[in-house]
Amino acid sequence: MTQEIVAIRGGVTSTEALQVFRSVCGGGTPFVRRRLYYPYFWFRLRYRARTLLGETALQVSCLVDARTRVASTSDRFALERVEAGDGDVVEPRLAEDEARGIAERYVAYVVKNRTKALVAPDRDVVDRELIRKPFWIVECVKRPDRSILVDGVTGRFHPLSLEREALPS
Amino acid sequence: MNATVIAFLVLYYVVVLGIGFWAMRQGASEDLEGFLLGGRDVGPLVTALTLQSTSMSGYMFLGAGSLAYTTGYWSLWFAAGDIGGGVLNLSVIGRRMRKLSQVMGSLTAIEYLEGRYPSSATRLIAASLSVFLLAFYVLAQFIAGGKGMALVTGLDYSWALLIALSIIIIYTFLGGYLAVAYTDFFQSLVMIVGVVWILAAALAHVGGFTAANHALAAIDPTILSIWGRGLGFEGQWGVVAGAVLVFSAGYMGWPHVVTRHMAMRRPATARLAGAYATGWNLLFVSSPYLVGILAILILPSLDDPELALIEVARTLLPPAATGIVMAAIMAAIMSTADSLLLQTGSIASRDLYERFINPKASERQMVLVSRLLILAIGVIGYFVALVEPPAVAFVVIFATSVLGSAFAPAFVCAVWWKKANTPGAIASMVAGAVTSVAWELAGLATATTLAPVTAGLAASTLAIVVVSLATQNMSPVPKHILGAMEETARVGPIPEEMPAMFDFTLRPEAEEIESMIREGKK
Repeated sequence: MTQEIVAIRGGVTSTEALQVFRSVCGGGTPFVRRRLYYPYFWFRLRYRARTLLGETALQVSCLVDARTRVASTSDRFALERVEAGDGDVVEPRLAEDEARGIAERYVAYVVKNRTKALVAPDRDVVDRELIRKPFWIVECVKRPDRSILVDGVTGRFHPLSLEREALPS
Repeated sequence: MNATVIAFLVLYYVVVLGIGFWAMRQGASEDLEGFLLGGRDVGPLVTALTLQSTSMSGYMFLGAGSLAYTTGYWSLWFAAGDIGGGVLNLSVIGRRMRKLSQVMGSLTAIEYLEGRYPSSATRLIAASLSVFLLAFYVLAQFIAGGKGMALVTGLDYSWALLIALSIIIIYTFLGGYLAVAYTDFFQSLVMIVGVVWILAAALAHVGGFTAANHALAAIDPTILSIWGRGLGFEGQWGVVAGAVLVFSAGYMGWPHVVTRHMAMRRPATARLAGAYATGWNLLFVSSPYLVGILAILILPSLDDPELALIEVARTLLPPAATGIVMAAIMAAIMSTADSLLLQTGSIASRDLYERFINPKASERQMVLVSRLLILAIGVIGYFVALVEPPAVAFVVIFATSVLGSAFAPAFVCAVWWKKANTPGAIASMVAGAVTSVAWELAGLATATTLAPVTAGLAASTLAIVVVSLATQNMSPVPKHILGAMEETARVGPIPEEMPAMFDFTLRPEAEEIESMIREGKK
């Protein structure tokens, strides 16, 4: 079964994910175990405030991890509709209202601290959507302790700890 | 009053405001979306220098020079702690604190403390101490600004203080533009140019270090001693330890310093930024102390040792260079003072007013509270700085000693000791603060040969250990916190050959996907 989802357009192919593995892990025979679509709530928030230098306005994109609740601001990205197998789509564990609260609190903190603002800005949500980001899981033949997770948009990676269930005890 | 000096000072303000105004225009057209606020970094160099410009204050230009002028090479103990402090903090609590704060969803240092040691008393004590001591620290910036302005402009101290204080407050209220990272970066460049220029001129004037040391030895050989001029601290390792600890362990008590650990991104970036910061510290931190020592030769009969650096600049440098040095001093003061004032206002409004006085406070009410508090600090600070101004070095060392004594053990144990509980942390904060303040006020440092920060840290460490152990049954550490700490302590099996270039920010997703794979789910 497949479903249509909204995903961040990822430029990293499986071949490039393998190259990421080779560039950081050296030897071994890597293979792509699977591609996963991981869920985020995306909010575009607009802030307007009057300061002594005049009116300032800015829009900030915020992604809230729909499973771990971790929020982060983000650069612009393009979205696309894709068909993905049910097994490759990770479902959210967070409700949208709760995610919005997390996003507003986090962005307010970031705006205040990075701009050293002593103002109470007008704030509204310009855009929102449940989106997903592609990730590649790349493993090494006979060496599951050398698995990595490759961000399908940026090509950045993080090691995965898969040895417990994969390695013989 | 020297017109050239004033012209360069004014030029400096024009550039700073110009950067802010440019960014404001860009922001108004909304072209900067996600640039400074987005996931993109401004780079490790800008990041490092921005952080350094915030943490280096007017103390470096007035307090450090004064300490060096009065105590000689002994003052370099303070510089040693300062240079290594950043790396120490990052090594001891950096990675684990970043992870634990993420697991607990904390955004500020005080939220983090309350999350780890759950109790409203934790927040009340931590926030109150922070507000009081940060405000006290800002007082040093007012005094430094006033003294520097008076000397350079020739104005009466009361007027110079009023002008400097007004500039600081207005600059703080002007905030809210997107170029903070770049104005701070610009300020840090001005600071480094200013201080290195004075050091180079001073060294050229005295004929280099060797000639200077011979000349100093001829005046008083104890100036070259590690025990201070007149061997005033001979054998007092408790005082020496305090001098090293105050700007190393003491920084762990600064809310805006420890918050940086929580905001750390990739380890590789943090490491590079750390390298830049250490390089900058090696050059910048030691220079004011060295100029202060050389000032003993250049200006042997200074009335006010706090003005050693500025007087050396005025004596040796052309007016334009003195203007740049003065701009450097104001840069150091402003970039620190506005951060501290905003931090103080934020803690007072969110952690005290909203939490304990008006839980339904709107955002505008909290901004009003912050603004009123900042104005109150300005007014009170003006009169204190006017009537009986304490030495800049005293204010900075005292505030840092108390903050470090109160919070360092609580922050360290938060990530390293599972038995550290709420009563232990509260006892530690109270014991550390009370001991270091009492030690200072009662003048016990001389009698006991222990600096206030040494005594305060010992008391707060003892308190958190003893009280935590004694109250384990009554107040066990909640299971969700123990779980978070175990998660924090876990370091994934990163193969040795895998360079530390992985993206820390992907850790939540990585761990979530790991657990899904373990559970055999998608």
